[in-house]
Amino acid sequence: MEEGDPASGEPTYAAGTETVVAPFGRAAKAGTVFISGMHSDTNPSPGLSVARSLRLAWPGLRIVGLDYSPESSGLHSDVLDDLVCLPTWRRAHLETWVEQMCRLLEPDDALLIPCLDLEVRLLATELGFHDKILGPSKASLDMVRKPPVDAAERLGVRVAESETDTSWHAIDRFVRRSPHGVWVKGEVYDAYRAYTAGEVLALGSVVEHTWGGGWHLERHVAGQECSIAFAALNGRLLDAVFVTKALVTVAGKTWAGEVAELDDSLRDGLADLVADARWTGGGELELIRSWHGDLTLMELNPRFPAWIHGASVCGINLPAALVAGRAASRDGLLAPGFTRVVEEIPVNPTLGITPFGWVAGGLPRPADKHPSGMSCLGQRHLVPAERAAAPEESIPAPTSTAAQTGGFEELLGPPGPEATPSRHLLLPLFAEQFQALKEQVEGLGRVLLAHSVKTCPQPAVLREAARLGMVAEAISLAELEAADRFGLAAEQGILNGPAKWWPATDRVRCWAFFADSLAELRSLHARLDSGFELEAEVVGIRAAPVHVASRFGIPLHEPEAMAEAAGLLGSLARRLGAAWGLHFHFAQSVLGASRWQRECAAALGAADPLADQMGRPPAVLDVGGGWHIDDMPYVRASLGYVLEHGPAAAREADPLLVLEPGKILTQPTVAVVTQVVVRRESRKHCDIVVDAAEGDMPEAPYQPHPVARFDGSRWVPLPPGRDRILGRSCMEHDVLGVRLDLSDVQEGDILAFGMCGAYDTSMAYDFGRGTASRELGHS
Amino acid sequence: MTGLLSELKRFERIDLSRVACHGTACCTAVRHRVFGRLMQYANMGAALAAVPELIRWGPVRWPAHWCDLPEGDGLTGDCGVHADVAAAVLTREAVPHTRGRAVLRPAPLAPAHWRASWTEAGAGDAWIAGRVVHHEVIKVGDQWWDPSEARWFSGAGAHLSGGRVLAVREEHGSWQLDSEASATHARP
Repeated sequence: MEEGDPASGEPTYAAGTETVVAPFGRAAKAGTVFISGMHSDTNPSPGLSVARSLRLAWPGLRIVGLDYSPESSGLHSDVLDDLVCLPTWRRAHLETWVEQMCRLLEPDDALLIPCLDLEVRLLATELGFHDKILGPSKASLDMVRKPPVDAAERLGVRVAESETDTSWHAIDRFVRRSPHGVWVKGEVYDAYRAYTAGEVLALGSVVEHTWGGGWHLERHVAGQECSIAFAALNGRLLDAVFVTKALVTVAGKTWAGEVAELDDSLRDGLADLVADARWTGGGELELIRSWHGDLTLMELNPRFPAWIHGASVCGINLPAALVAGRAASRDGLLAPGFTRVVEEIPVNPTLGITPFGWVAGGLPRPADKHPSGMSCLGQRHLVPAERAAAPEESIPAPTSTAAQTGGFEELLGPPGPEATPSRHLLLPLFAEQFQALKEQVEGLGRVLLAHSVKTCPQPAVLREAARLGMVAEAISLAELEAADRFGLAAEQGILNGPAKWWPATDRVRCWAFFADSLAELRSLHARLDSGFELEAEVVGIRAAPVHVASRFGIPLHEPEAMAEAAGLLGSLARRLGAAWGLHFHFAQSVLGASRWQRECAAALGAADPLADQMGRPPAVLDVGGGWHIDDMPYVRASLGYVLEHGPAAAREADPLLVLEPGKILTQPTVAVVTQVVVRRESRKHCDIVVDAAEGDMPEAPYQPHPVARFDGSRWVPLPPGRDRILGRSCMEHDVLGVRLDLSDVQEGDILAFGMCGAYDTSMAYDFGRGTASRELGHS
Repeated sequence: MTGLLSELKRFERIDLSRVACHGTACCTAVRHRVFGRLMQYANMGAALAAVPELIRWGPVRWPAHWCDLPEGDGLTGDCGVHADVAAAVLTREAVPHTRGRAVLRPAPLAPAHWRASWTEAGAGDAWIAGRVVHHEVIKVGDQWWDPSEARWFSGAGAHLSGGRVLAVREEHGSWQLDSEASATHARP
């Protein structure tokens, strides 16, 4: 490609015999520009926008739209002089496509601006460097692969946190530590927002199925969506524009934007980036601007954005700059921004209108954002993968201690003669976790650690909790009695939950209880009137979360509930001669540390107005909710946040802080040993069936558990992969492990699941063993 | 038009496709794989749309048997396979229909792709003429159904994503030409 002489003011490639609009000047000779990616709906391809921009610059330029389906709506536009409709990628023949593209570009004055992501990559792969194609080379594309860490560094901006390990455990951890959710991003295209590990696994499968490639996770960054679009030729930055999205569609696509020039720093960084990448063609950097003004790079697209004509009408015409080989001089912008409008046009009679297509789901087909069959191009694997489809296999396992989600096998002895499945208590891990927790709360003031009996009522664990100086947190009188029997004194215990007075009795003595509802407070008054004997040093209430739905607690953020709760609680405290307290409880393992601490601080904030109404500050603030085993390092920071940002009473009245972190103490204390009974191979992966089932570890279908295989001398952790471990029961959801590499596992092998303490033990049940329920057994 | 007439006569010599069965497990297993999947759809449009989703469009060597369709992890079949399977679904649900054929004028660069794919697969490309192609369809009531695209179309003169429909003909019937063509040219 020859570049125009900037000094002459003459573009090289634009039409010369036609009327030419300033500022790009008159073209030297007639030319043809092919533009692909012409579909235009609420998620448009860029082609039509590029064509309009070129038409704006050169009304007489011959512009030919190119796409892979007559359903590509932009092909009908009268902006085009002609169109090329190639077969959809479901029906295209690769070598023929290469021949035809080369033939289209044979004329000296022909150019192609590719505007479809996968097509850009395929052109770079199949045609290599081609002087008529204004798109990046394969080497350029390799430099900006996702996640765009290197590009962000060169630009001097942040990059979104990402996770390429797509094992279940890694996904679960990343999601839990992403308070605004995550994006499941395809290797070359598509992104879906997700909030749970289950959603990520399902959407990752959709991406793999639709595009035939791998995927990774990116943390959602809250802020203002911005973009930098640019045009470059052989590594020389021609021009660029900064756009801040002002309106977006439901799918997050730009509908209106503010247009601005790049500042010098960004322009210099971008110039360095395109120079290093030897970039040719259009490009787009997708960015998020934080409230503080910092920029985070989310993605670098190897083509112009679909809104590019919006910048052109404001005076920054990048497609024209690309074709001209230089930027036009300008004195400011023609408009501060752009907006889109919907426009109906008659169809091109050559293409006609294609009738409605039915889909197997039985639903009307939504506007298809890929009428050219680009997803099929991905599925056909014609474009080389940027990463392996299963990158997890090459990722080393994270360093772990025995009490983290890996490493339990180090404490597990060789399998014995006992029948499988069998449950093994790893009691040292309980003390190890307790010690770690104690270190976390040191220096935070007066803190009392409570053992949640429901997470592990095993006598050995209760005795160990007592030995370590913990108190019992019970959700029933039966639990309180069991705890007392094994050393956790009832008079030091805490009663929580909606049915804490079950089984019914005439007399209860505990250290503290927290009413779950206004109804419970009223009922307690009535029962006391009827002779119920209750001794407690602290009476309290549980505050409902403010932002997340919960079936528990009193909505103290509602004035009526606050007023009634204060009245009932005050009179109850006076009646029992007790101090008062406030309790917050929600599973941290569900919310993650960031959201949990905010919810906790918000809910406990009710302590100040309660104190005002009751005339004295709280004696106790009690916080709980099962913490995830991996999040031990976050405990101190989260409690610190709650103390700093929660009620003023937490800082001024020196209340006792009670911490009930639940399963973080007990999750690692049990392993389930099981035997492989069936191995089932398929072409793509294998399943094994083990003699354990969800009844032996009820949370296994919903939470990742580490698995190790006994190789005859030691336990060896199973690496990530694409295989599954199925439970022995006949339930569809009895899937105990996914995304594991089971290539070394054979029938008869012994496996061990770690992290089977807590609810995996306390809620375990007999199923599929021929045993009857207790009630039927008694009859 | 003369060219079109001669192509119509040539296409008439292409038998409408019937997937044959060896009568043994090799074929009955594939038949079960296909119709077992299609039976799950309670809605006829959805069931017929599932045909090209289940059987990926691609070359087939005729005469074809059911056991010729598996390819890799999936199944491959041309419009003849799609039409034969769709007709079987309609028959199973007692929907009156007749098999038929259409002549399409695709985008100019498309036939080269298909000829190359069919040649590579060693399949006959008699269905591809110079500027037009033969395509198997189904007549249901007074509408036509394209079994490869899962779309209704009105007949000659309509546009499908494979191209403009120049002519249609029910099995044992006569050709109906695109009105633009028949306005200036005699019917064959």
